[in-house]
Amino acid sequence: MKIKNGFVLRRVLDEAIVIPSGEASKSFNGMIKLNDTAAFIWEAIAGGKSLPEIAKSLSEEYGISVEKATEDANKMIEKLLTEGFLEK
Amino acid sequence: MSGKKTIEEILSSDGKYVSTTVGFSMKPLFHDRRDTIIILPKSGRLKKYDVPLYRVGESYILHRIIKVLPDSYVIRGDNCKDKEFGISDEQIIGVLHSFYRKDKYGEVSSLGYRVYSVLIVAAHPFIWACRRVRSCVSRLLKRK
Repeated sequence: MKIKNGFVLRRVLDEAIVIPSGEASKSFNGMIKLNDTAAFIWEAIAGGKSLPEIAKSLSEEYGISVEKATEDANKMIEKLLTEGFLEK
Repeated sequence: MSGKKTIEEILSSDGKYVSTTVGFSMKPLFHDRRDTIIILPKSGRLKKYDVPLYRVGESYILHRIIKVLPDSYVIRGDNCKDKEFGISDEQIIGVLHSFYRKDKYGEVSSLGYRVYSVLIVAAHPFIWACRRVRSCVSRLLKRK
């Protein structure tokens, strides 16, 4: 899975925002705000990490179990897939 | 009723407006659909070299102030030949605070950006003189 071409994460005044650039900005006019966990997962996906790797990093970063981290990462990935920001 | 917010409404509710740049008028600083601008609401009068987001009719424009007048501003895009006169404070809805050029973050308060602002305004006559000469030479060469 990877982030669709043309969507970028920007850190703006302590907020994480995803906005379109390039061709994507012609069809998607807006932005989405991500919370800390979502932004962490986005950056992990952008960095080419797999789901188990993302869950492990998330578990270490936030001090939660790997099972809980996997559940959270899965939910986030499903949401991003549904919204059209990711492709398999 | 449309659910889409105007930029003025976004600035008012969120305290900032983030967007992808569109157009070529602020090149070489911003490129079409490549860079990201972060706009904050305007507070008080702006200064020379500030980059306001202002409204002309239905269009939003982001250009640079090159002269501050008592009741208006003279504004020009970094890549534009002509000045725009009579832009009032009422037309200005926000001002550039920071940006991403590709993936590199920058703030208008940084020394590098401030030096760039002064240079791009000072160099404007030379840049356009060079473009004019180049254009004339190109036309002459085509005639031969």
